[in-house]
Amino acid sequence: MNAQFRHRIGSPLRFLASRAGSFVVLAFLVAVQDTYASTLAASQFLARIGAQGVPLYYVLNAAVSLPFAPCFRA
Amino acid sequence: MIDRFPRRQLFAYGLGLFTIIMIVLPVLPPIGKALPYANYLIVRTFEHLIYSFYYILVADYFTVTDNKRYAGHFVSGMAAGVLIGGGLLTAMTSLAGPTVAALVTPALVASALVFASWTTKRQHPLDAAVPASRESLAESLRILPRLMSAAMFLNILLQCIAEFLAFSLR
Repeated sequence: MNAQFRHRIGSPLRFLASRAGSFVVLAFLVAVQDTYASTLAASQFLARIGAQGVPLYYVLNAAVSLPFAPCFRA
Repeated sequence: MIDRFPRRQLFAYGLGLFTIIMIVLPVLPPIGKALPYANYLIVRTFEHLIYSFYYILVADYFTVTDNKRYAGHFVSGMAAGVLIGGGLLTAMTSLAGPTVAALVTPALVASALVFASWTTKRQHPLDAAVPASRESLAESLRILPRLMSAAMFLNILLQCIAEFLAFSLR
């Protein structure tokens, strides 16, 4: 029972300590902060500007993103 | 330009800059309609940038076979992060309000930064080759006209128009 319990707990912990596990944790943390920040920004935008500002936002987003993309190409 | 610096440094600098921006943005006085637009644009641009850097890092630290083997694990980690991030924001805004919720953002970004720095210092990339390209910022931007005329641009344009029509946005 004890060995089985140790195996069940130990395997995921060993995986999280590995290289792949570290990148899974990193993916988790990146997703937490990105979701939190972008949802908050979207809700504040909709509260202050409203849905009628979304088309202009998309145009501005494209105008800002397009110069960024070539800068970060390999 | 991405080849001019080590990728792990670019990822850390990106997260560091985002942390500073997230500290400054909530304390700025409201400047008419400009601030919500700027806030949303900055956050979304950094969001795309950080996700892109994450996948570039994965490509640097894993072989193609390992990347395929662990792709499901990485996506599961992200999915769990989306659930926790959304849930945390819901809890924070209902318990403490949007102002306090905004002040929590830098702490979350900083936690990702600290863990990313620790992981990339502990693990070594598979390929530590000398940067291949030394192109400047101006040289990088030369591709812009070709990019604008590419099929991807038209695809995104059509997607935006379809979204506007679907949601009846005017």
